Amino acid sequence: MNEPAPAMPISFTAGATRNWPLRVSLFILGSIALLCLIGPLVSGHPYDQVYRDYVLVRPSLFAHPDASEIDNAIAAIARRMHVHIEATRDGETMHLTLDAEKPVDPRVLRAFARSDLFAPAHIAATEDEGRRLEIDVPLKRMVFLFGTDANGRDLFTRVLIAGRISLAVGLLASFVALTIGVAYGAVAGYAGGRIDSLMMRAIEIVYALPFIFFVIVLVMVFGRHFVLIFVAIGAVEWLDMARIVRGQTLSIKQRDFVAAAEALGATTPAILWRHVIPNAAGPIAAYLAVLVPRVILLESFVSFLGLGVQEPLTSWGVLVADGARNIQGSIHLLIFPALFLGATLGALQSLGDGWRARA
Amino acid sequence: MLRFFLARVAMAVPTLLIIIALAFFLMRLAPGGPFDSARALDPEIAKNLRHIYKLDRPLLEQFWFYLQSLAHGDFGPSLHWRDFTVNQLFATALPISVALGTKAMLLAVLAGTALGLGGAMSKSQIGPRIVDGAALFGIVLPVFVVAPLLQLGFGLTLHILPVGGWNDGAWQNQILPVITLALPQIAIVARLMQAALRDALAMPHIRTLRAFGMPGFHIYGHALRAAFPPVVSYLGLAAANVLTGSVIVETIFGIPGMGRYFVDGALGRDYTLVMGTVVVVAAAVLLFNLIVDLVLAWLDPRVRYESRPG
Amino acid sequence: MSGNLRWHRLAFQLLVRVAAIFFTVLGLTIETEIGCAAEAPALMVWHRGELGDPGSLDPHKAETLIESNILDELFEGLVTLNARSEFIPGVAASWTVDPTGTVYDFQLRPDAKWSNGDTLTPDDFVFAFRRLMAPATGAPYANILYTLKNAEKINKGELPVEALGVRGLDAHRLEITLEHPAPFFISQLAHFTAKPLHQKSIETYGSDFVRPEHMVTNGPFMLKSFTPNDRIVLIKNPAYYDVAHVALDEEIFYSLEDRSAALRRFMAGEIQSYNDVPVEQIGFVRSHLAEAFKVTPSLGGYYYSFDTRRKPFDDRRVRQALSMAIDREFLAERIWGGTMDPGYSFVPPGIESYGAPATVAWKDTDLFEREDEAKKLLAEAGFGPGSQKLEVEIRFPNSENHRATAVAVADMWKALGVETRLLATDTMSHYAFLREKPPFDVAWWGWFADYPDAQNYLFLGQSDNQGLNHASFSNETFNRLMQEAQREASPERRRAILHEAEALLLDEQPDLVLLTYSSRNLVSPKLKGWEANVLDNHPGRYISVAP
Repeated sequence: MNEPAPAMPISFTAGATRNWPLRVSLFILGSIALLCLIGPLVSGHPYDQVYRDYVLVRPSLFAHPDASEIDNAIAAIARRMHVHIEATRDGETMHLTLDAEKPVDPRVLRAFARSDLFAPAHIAATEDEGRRLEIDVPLKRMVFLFGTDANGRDLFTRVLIAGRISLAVGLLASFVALTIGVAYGAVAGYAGGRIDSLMMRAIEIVYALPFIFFVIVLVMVFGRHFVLIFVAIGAVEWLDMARIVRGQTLSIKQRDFVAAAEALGATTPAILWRHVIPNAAGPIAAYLAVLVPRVILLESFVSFLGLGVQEPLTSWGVLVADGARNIQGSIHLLIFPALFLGATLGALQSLGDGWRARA
Repeated sequence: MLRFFLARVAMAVPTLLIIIALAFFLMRLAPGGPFDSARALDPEIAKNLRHIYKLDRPLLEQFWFYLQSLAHGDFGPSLHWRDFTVNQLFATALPISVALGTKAMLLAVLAGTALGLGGAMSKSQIGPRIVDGAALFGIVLPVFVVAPLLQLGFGLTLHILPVGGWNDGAWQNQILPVITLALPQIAIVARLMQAALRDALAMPHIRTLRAFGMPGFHIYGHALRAAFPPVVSYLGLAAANVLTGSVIVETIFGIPGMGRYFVDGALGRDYTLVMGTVVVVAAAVLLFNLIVDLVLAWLDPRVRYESRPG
Repeated sequence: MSGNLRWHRLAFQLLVRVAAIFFTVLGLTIETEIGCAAEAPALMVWHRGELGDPGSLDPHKAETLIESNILDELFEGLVTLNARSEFIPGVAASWTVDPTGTVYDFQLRPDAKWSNGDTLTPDDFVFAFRRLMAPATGAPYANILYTLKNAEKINKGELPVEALGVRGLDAHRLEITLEHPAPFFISQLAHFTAKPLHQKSIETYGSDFVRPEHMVTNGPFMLKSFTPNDRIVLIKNPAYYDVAHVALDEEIFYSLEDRSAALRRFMAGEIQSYNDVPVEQIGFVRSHLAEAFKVTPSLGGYYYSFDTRRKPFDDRRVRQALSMAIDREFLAERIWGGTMDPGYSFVPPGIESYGAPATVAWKDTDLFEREDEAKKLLAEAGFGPGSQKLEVEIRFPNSENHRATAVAVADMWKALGVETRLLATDTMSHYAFLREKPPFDVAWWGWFADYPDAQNYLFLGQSDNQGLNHASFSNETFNRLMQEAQREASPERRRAILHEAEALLLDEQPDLVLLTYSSRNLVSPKLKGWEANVLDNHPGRYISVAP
């Protein structure tokens, strides 16, 4: 029997024990998943929060605002509210003296409250019939570990939220592929004969259907809901799975315990469910570890074409595609999501290899 | 052999027909049409245009027209490149895609085999690890990240290669696109090769040869034979991917190949152009499958007598 | 055993052969390349990057700005544009208008010729205008010249093409009759729909007349080759009447969709100009390519339409409130990197015949005051704390810039207590959506005028403009004003009426004006004669390239 090779590489590392890569991969995957789950809750920034004063900030361990940011912000407020501002800094609070020709517009406090740099201000003293105002403004401290994007949103939080989406997409689509593929393959393999060759013919047709075209059209048609898109992607990715399961089923069918079950009068679905599928579990698991990264990469391709998930949600694919366009301007937009994407794909890949070697 | 070949060709025709039908009707499900643009046309004018391109006929009738012209080898007029027929567009684009794709695949096979061989020949555990690790990079780095990096490095920093453009196929213009296309394939071939070689080297008959003191050259020759079938199977699949997956490479490097028609056609609702690309690519996939089967049959005569599933 | 040995020899030979072929192919291309390089004479060439390919070089099938740029090089109409985008006589040397403002008499240049040497006659224009209006041509932009007498009826098949108000008076005189007075008619004549065509080559080759080997043109350049998705090569037209002043030998248009890649090619010197810069790289370009980067206000508007057919967007107060709360300076400066201007008028500033456009009443009011006012308006309309929550969905075609803009707008509306959802679709789906007009909340669209006249913006609010009135705005007073303006022969009175109409449109806010476009050009300092202008039009006739 000549089974076509699956679309991704197989490491037949027979004999070689490769336990540490397996453990490292699991550790990386676990950490990333955990970070994506918990990170956004503790990062201090909602993923869709726009900080208008912090557009395209560079990554830094230090808290914003720094001295020059404070000066610029105060100068901008002075211009806008037509006042003259003298500022002195005292730790985390700014003491400001506002001078104007007319009485100072009290809305100036709102200008500070609205700013992303300052906490609400309060008036310490009013002099000269309101033409001079003394106010205390506490600073708001914020850290942008990975910097911010073109809208002034915290990239760290967005990378983690994107991770949730990308991982969810990978798992969801793979689950769809798994369900369809296993059912289809098991039925074809078990039924055999005419039905089998007819079902395999159908697979060959879908194989030759250019896959990118299929995905683009599905995304255009189902454009609105990202869940639907990835159900659709899953519905395309089941082919290899079906072939693998069919092959396994064919060989398992020959085994004695299946014949015994048949003799005992077990129904076909029951045999498939109880005996055939569990026995094919090894290769299925190994293939799944290859499928998940494939789907994630595919999603990034769809994102590059501008057909990715809807704002304000995002995915690694969307972030990396945006970052690649920004490569000369703000490289941090590329590096961080690419690191996460790369680490996840790499870990999944070697996990797949490891499982294959065991299976 | 001939019967095997003919049977496969005969089976390809209905397959192709079903694919054409699927693609034709799927494409029409997408919202919008070829005449939608930033400036919406006057409804009367749009109606007139649909009439001129026969898009106002019932869908089934349009499908029948399409099949008829296809039977004459005519893909029809492009709805976006209105000065060209789809055949004319393909006449320039297909050779370019084939040339790039072939070079990328050759590079992948050569470099991948060399890497795989190097890894497998290494006595220690380090060699294979390095190959596996390097290959991992090739697989996980998206093309749209690699391509700009190469442009920045070789074009803008070192000034030794053009950043983009086709320039009638000058070799300088081909190097970066070929490398970008080949990188993920090199990685996969290297991994496949290395794994298969290591398995092969562990097989009893090779160990026997070693014990007899055969020179290394012969040993690896034997091992390579055992390693080729999975690589060949993979290449068949990858060849089609290189043809269609080149869309990003073509867009970033500004190369007038088939990949861009594929995506631009679909996004621009250029129905005839999309259908043309689908037919060409599907035919190519079927052809590659056939070639893979023939090569595998040649490598392993047992295959010939067993009908392939499906 | 022997089989194995034979096989591995085979495999090895195969590898060697494959390698040999690979390098032969490389070697061959190296040789041919060197051969070509030796012969190349020193030509003056403008390597010009464009955003994409023209859909067609047939002026009657053209639709986009990309096509317009190339067609202006190939064909010259009665009127044409100079380097500063001012209208200057083209094939017509002079013209007169009768007192009703509807009959134009053009005197053609005696030295106007086609690239094959034929003399250009008034009949070439008659032929071209009739072909434009003939229903069988299917010209998408025919309706621009519905100003011509009977044009609309002919285009809809109600009259024969011979009824068109265009005729030759003698060998050098062309008479054009209009449906009604149109002060902007002369500017329309520079549009690509108003080019002359070479009758004989179209009759001989049909739709293939656009092939390089058949194409006959009358502009400063002629077509040498067209490779889709690659480049279009134009060469100097020796028969052009002003050829003595055309410095370029060749003008090559490159189709460059990927803006970032185009920027890199510009930096490498592979192209000498490109008419866009990715917005996210503006900062980089400003600091590294300051000399080459040209930002010029242009005649384009960036709008969000409200679906005025539906509640609550049928309420003027809701529309005004949402419009007032937007910080347009932030959008222009931070989101678009200073390459857009805040939009406070419906017609972009910069149209000479129109003067300064009308603006919204609250243009100079402080943003905080506007927010307070907006909240009050929303409360009057029944939205706000304690009552209903206003939910809005913004639809836009997917691109980074539209996305960043929508995200910022949503954030600004949050200050009013409005909840905003974003919905991006692929570009064609978006345009199809605008055309089919199912119910929506807010949808993006942009508009660049076909000819610089206020009417070409304001007609977007007419209720009979089904295709382009995306807001489905319907206002009797506005329609009446627009009709009055159309009948008005006096330019001053016409301008006053149009201003009144614009003020009404801004007060009603069916379309929220966010920004007005600027062109973002990268122009190599080597390119001489390139002038920034509002139409972002740069004819090769005036360009030269320093070595």
